Amino acid sequence: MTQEELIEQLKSQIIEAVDLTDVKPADIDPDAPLFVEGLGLDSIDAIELVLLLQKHYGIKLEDPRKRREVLTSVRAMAKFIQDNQSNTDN
Amino acid sequence: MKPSYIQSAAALSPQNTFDGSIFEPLAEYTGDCMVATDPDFGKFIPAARLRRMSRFLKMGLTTATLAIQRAGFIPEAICVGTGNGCCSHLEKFMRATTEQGEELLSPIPFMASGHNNLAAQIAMNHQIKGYNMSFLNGSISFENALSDAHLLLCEGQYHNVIVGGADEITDLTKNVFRHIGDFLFPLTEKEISNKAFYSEDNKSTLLGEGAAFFCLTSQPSEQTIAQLVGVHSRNGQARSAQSDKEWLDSILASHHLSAADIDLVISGENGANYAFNSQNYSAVYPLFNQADVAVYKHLCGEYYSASSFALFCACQIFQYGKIPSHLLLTHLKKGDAEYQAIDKKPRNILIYHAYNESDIQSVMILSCGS
Repeated sequence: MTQEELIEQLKSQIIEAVDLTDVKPADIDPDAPLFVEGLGLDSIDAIELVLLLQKHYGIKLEDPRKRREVLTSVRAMAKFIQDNQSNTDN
Repeated sequence: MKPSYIQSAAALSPQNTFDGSIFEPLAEYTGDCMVATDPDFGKFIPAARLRRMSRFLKMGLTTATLAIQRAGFIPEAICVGTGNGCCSHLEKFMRATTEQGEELLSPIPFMASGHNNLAAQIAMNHQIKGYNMSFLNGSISFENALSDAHLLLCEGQYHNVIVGGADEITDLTKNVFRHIGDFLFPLTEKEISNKAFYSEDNKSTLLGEGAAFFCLTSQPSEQTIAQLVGVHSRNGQARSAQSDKEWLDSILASHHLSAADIDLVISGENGANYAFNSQNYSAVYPLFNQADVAVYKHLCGEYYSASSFALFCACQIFQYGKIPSHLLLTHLKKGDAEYQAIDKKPRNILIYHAYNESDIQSVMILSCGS
């Protein structure tokens, strides 16, 4: 799966996980901030995104500093998934 | 005890009561439930909060907000009655718990599944920092909330209180109610219409949902809709026509009223032609032989806090000075569910409920104006 394909998949999964019923995948800018600005998510949504990564991609994101780094945008999440999966593959 | 005063009323129901009134032709429902008509929730609740709310919260908070807007003041205290509470979030959380083996559980359905969530949301949205109480007592949840609000005002603890009842219907609760028969809701093979609830051969009823909220004050004002004279309930009593009569007579006497002072009885009879309904409601009607008898479950369906909709009907009858004919049992028994406004302003209304569970009965008494 290319990064662009993964980004599109992530957008749909984020919409479902945090109940963004009025938002369509096309409305989400992959480089926009996920929190406060951009999608306007909050700390409870952050827990949902951590669960999303574990549930769909088998990745545990336990380090709070790493969470702040990964959960910045959809593209950052996609890159983290790809890096993590390729590390696992190796 | 002094009365309290109802200053505003709002109801969200399967009828057009949110923007409209009960003085409109009956919206017809067939099948197994009556679903409340959703207004534009976004006009009442900020989008960031709306997305995490279940229908129960959306219905309750929106209706409470409309009642506050109509009252024109922010109440000091909150009392809410609900039988099922946030059951859809609870169902979501329990389903995920079993399906996912108690792992990777989303926190939102768990956080939002508390029964007192609605009262908390009303407090947060309107910055109400006083008394905040939720009553979760099955079919008598709303009566207990109303009684608490009435006491808070009569004892002088608060000057104004918002009180209401709300419940939502979900697929799971629908199945549970069908199987335990909690509301005299037998499994039925044929579809029924709410227009035919009270016809002689009907054997069933429909489940429903809704929310109704009221702003009450300790003092009357020019906008007072009705006086709440008293709220009473009892359970665990051996029930008979004689004991019902004695109980109702004692309640009326405690308010210096007699049966002849009641012009309209609003009855919780739900239409199912069961021995229960004929024993427990029909036995009460002759006590008020000078009063009209109105019913309302064909408007809103059957749910735990449905008596809050009865109070809303009473408020609208006082406000408009009319009784809609499609509420009158004598018309409905004849199969006439067509709407016609009857010019008649009751002086006193008695709202009566009898429930199959634990022999619970309740009475609310209202008098017109200030």
